[in-house]
Amino acid sequence: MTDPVLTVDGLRTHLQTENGVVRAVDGLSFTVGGGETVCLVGESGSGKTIACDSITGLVGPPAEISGDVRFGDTELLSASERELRAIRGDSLAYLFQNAQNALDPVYTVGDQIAEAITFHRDVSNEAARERAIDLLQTVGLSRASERVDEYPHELSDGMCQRVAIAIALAAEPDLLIADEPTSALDVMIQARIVDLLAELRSTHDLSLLLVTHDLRVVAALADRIVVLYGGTAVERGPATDVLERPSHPYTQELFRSFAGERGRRNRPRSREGIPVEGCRFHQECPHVVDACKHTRPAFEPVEDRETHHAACVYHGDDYDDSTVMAEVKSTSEFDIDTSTGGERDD
Amino acid sequence: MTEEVILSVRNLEKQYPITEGLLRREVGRVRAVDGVSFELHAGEAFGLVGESGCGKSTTALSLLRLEEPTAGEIRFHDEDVLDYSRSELREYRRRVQLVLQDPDSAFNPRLTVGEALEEPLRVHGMVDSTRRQRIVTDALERVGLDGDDRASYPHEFSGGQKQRIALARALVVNPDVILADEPVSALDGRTKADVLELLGDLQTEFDLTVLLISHDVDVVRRFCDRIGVMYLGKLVECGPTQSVLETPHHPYTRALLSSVPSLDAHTPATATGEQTLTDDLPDAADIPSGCRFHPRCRAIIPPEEWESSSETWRRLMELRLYLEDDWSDTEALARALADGGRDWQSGDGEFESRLRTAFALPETLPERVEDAVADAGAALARNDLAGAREQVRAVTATVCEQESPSLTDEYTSHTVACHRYDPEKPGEALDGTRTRQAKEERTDAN
Repeated sequence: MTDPVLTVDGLRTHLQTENGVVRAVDGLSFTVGGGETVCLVGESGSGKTIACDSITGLVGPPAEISGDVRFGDTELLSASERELRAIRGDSLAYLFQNAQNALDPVYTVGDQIAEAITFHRDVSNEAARERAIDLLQTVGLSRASERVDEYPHELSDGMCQRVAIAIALAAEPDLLIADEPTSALDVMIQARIVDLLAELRSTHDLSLLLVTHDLRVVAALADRIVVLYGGTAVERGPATDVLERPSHPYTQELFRSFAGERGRRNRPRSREGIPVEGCRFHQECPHVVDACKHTRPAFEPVEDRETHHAACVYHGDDYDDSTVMAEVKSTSEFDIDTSTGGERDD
Repeated sequence: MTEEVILSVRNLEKQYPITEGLLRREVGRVRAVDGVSFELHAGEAFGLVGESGCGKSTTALSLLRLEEPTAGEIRFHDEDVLDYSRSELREYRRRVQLVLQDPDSAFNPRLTVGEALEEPLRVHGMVDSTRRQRIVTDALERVGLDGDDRASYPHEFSGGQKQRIALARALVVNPDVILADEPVSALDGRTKADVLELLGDLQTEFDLTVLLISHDVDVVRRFCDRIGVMYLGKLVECGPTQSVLETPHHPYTRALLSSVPSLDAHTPATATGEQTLTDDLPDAADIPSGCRFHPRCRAIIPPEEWESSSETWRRLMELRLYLEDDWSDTEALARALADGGRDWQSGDGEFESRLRTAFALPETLPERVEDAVADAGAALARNDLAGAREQVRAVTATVCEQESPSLTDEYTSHTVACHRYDPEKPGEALDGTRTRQAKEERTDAN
C-alpha cells in the first residue's frame, strides 16, 4: 500500500451541552490509503458523520476537537480557515446524503459545477462550462449539453445525486468523503450510484471514505471497514475479513440484526446512553467480564491475522477468543437467494 | 394462517386532478393508484414493495378512506367499506390501524405519551379514565417500554422508542389489521431489527393481520408471508414471498432484485445485467401506454416479424428512447451526437451514420429497419424530429406498448402481469419455466 492519503489519529470531538459533555467522537484512529475505499460503518449516533465533519473542519467551537488528522502534507485540525478553503472542494471533496438539499435551487447545475471549478482553477467561464458538460457525461447524465442549463428541481433525486458527484469531482480530488451517499435514494437508483462510485474510483484514481449503515453498500464498495460504536472504532480490517468473520461482539450483533436473527432480548436500549468507562459496548455485551467495565480494550489481532483487529479483551492473550468466535456467521449467509434461474430473453 | 379474507381490494383507483389557472381547469390526472387488487387473509403479513412514487402509500391511505378512492371496491369482512356510514367508518378505522414511517411527526409534541395513547380510546368512546390508563400502561409494557413513560413527552424518546410508542398507540384500540407504512425505514441497524421483531411478536400475540409497505426488500423478505410488487400504480407481480424473491418473473421485479447489492464482499459489482434501460420512474401524470414498464424494460418483446437478434432489437429500442427524450430541437441532438466523436460532416447521411455508431447498430439490418433508420436520419437533417421519431416508432411496434398485461393466474398463488407469461401473447418467459414451445402447446390445447 502506498502512503496513506488520510491519517486520523486519536480524533476526539467533545460537545458541550446543557447536560454535560457529549463525547461524540472519542479516540478514533484510521487511515485511508491511495485509491482505497474505507467504510465507516455504524448506527445512527455512532459518531460517523460528526467524525467526517470534524476531519473537514465543518465542526467549529464550542465543540472541542483534538487529535491528529493528516491529509497529504497538511495537518487539518490546526489548519487555518484559509488553508482549509483551499483544500476543501479541491483535493478533498465531500458528498452529502441529500443531494436535493446540497444543491442551490436558484442556480443551474452547470453554474454550480462551474463554480466548483473556477473557485480552485484559473480557467475561463467557457472552459468551465465545457468541463461541466464533460463531468455530467462522466456521471452518466443523458443530454448533458442541455441538462447543464437546468435547475435542480427539474431533475430527479438520482440525477441530483449524480450532479452532486460531478461537483465533487470537479477539481479532481484525491479523496472523496461520502456521507450516506445512497441512503436517501431508491433501490434501483442506489445500485446505479454504487456502480458509478465503483467506476469513478478506478477511472479517477480516487480514495473514498464512505460513511454508511447499509451493509449491502459496504459489501459492494469497501476495501477496508472500520466499525464504529459510541464514537470509537471497535473493529477494523479488510472488508472480506470483517464481513466474513465479524469479531467484536458489537459487530456480530450489528450484522445479525441485519438478517433479523432472533434470540436476543427485545428491549429498547437504556436511556442512560453508552458508558464512557471501559469498553463502550460492555453493558449490552453478552460476553462481558469485569475487565470490560474499567479499561478501554486495546486493538488486538483477530485469530493472528495481521490486518484484522478488534478492540475486545477476548482477542487479547488473557481470554479465549472461541467464546466470541464460536458462532460467527458471514454476512453472505444472510443474503437473498435469488437464483434468477434460466437465461434472460436472448 | 387461515384462508379467511379480512380485507379485499378490487381495482382500487386513486387519481388526483392536475388543475391550471384561476378556474382550476383540469388539465390532466395523476394516476397514483391505478387498478390494484389484492386480498389480506386473516393473520398473514402481506407486503407491498416498490420504488417511491409507485403508489404504495396512497394504497394504504385509500384503504382507510383517508384518501377517498376514485374507483374500485374495498370489502372488510365482506362489507362494502365505501358504503359505510360515519359511525361504521369510525368503527372500521378502529379495527384497521395505521402506523406511519416518521415517528417524529406522528406525535403531537404538546401531549404526553399517556395523553397521546389515551386519545384513540377516548375517540372510540371509552370514558372510564382509570381503565384507559390501565390499557395504556399495558400497551407500553408490551412494546418494551415502561408504564411510567406515560408522563414523558415524545421528544424525550429516541426514534426507535417513538416507533414503539406508535405501535402501542395502534394497539390500544385492539385492532384486527395494522397498515404499516415504512414502519422501520427511518431506523437503522439494531433498532430497525428490534422494532421489526417487535411488530412480528405483536402480530402473533394479538393475532393481527399486517399490511407492510416498504421499499426495502430485506424488510419484506424477513417479515411477510406474501408480497405484491407495485410499479406506477399497478401490481406487476404477487405471490408467496419466497417464490417471488427466489424466482422473480416480471422484468421489473427481476431488475429490482438484481439491483440489491450482494452481501458477499467477494462480489464487488452490483450490476448483473438485468438493469433497466433508464434510471427514472416515468411521471404518474403521463403513464406509458400498454405495459407501463415497457420504456424501461430490457425484456421488451420484439414485433412478431422481427428477424434480427434480440441484442439489435434492444439497441434499436435504445435509439428510439434516445430520440424520444426531451430534446429542445434537432440541433441539440446533433450537438450531443457530435460530442466526443469526429467532426460533424455536412451531408445527408450524417445523422444516420452518427445514430448507427452511437447505438452500435450492425452493418446489415432487416430491410424495413434499414429504411426506417435512413429515413429517420433524413428527417433529422430536415429538422423534423417528430418525423424521425415516427419512422423509428413504426418499426418498433411491440405488444408491450399496445396492450396492458393483466395479472395472470397461470401460477395459482404467484401471479405476474407481463405478456411474456401470457400464453396468448408472443415472447418467452424469463425464468425458463415457460418456453415459447410450452406456451404454444398451451395455446393449442385451449
